[in-house]
Amino acid sequence: MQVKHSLSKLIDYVGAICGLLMVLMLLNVFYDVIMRYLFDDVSIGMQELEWHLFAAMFMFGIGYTLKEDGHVRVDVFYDNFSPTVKAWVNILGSVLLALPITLLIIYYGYGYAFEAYEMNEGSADPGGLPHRWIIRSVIPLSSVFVVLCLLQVVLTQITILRDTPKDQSSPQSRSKSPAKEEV
Amino acid sequence: MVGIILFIIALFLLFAGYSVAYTFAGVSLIVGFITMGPELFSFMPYRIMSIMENTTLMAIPMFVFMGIVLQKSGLAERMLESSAKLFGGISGGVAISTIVVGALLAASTGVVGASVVAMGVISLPVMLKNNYHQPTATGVICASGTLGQIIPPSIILIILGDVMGISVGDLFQAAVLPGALLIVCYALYILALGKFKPGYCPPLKIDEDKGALIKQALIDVVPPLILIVAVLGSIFGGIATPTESSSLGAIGAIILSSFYSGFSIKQIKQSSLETVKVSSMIFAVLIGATAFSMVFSYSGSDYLVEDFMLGLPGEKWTFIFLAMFAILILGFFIDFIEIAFLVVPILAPIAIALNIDMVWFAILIAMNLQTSFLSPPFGFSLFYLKGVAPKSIKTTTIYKGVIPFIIIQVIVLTLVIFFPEYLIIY
Repeated sequence: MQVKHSLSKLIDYVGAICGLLMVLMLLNVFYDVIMRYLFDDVSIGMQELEWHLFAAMFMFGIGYTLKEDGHVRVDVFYDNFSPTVKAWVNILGSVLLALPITLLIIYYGYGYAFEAYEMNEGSADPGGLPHRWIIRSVIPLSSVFVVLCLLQVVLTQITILRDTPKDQSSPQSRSKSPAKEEV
Repeated sequence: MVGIILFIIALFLLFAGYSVAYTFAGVSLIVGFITMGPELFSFMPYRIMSIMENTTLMAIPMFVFMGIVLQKSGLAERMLESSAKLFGGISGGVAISTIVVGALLAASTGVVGASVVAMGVISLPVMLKNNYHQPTATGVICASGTLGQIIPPSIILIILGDVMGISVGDLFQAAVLPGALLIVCYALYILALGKFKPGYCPPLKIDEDKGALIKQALIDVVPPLILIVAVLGSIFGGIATPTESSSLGAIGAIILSSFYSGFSIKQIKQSSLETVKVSSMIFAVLIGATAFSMVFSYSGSDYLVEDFMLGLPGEKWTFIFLAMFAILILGFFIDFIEIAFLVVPILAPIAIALNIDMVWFAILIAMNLQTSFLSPPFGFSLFYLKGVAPKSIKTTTIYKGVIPFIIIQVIVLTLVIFFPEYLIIY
């Protein structure tokens, strides 16, 4: 399971970068607000950088959240499933539901980013950021990352299947976990 | 018709428990691929890009971050302890202080689960030790915890504003009166209970010096209050957009938490990782909903629903009743994020066609979702409290406890439906 281990490390690393992007975005917006209201100075480039950071943060964050099991589920029944059934739900969901749409986004997203590169597209506003292909390529690149995260999830679930004795069928603790964030 | 079948299949598959975002995206892809071919999805990157460029939605991670930072600084615990001591001396005092703190937490953190858990851990033992009527004690905690849904700056209002194409600032402002009315009604109910059923919520014995208590309460409550006033005031005053003011709130939260528990890089790192998870979860649902809405509208199902709804007798009232009923029922099973991204976009154009005031409609949806958070058997608030309550508290006790508060909710919701001219001001 060397692969799974390295994958987990890579995903955590990318997750930490997303956390950093989050803080940078916050500082970026704060800086722009201060400059605008106190010094009456508006930079289009800095304002565009805000959503560049925002977009990269959540697009790569989606994969990290998959590994961290942070995506919202309808857990009315799921909570009462045995570990084996839960593992099968996650494996089938990853392969049949998540993987196809992710591959599709990679396919069309690549063309979308390449188009911007070929036309050397930049911001339509004066003073805006050039090289629009960079942020556009976040779409296919983050989806490639999602594929890696799905692989990590599936490998983890296979380990659970392998390590669970066949006769164990007792349902897990009932109530919803109170630690889960609900916003 | 394809879209409606798709919606039903996806809804059923959700109960298997796989990620909501990918269940909707995956089923939409399969159904869209079979009925209309893959070309349909070539627009996906364009739609994703428009989410990435959306500066209104940028307020979500920053408000989430603000809430998590404040939560980690122990704000809820401090406010609950000091206000329980301050008001505890009167009949129903601890319950009232729970409501007040619940409202303050709603305005500063808006994290429903966190508020319910904090109140369940701190206020509930105090109330139980003082022989509070158990259902009342649990009910007041669940109800106060859901206030985060309606009291601005709430995430649901930002999402609704974006989905329905209305100003988030207007929505925040419009939510103030209904939210305040709810708080007042909760408090009045407890006061009345203290008067007519004194055994339900007996006063506490407080030995500490009154002056010292007031001073401690001021230290614990005033700084977060200033932060709330600054954030909301800058939005309502038209000085800052919600996104701009969310950054002020987040920086303010860091300063405030340094003031209470010391500045810590580690805590900021943890908070930002949590924020990444919560925001990515929300935006993943939005992307999944995008795939769904492409299939739904390309197959012409949006017109089908619209024609059906517009063809109903009773004009806008039948529509409002049906919409509210559907949202309430769906709210028992699925989260507000899915409802806001999947169901509201179907309802919004119909509301526009019926000349319904969108801000009013959005507030009704938010209040309705709040009620479903509180409603047995699946309300989220109830699960969170059950998770931290002592074993002696039965689920049925909590169910019984929330009933009076659900009735209050329904009364306030009815008032907002029939008297928008007094209650929805923006």
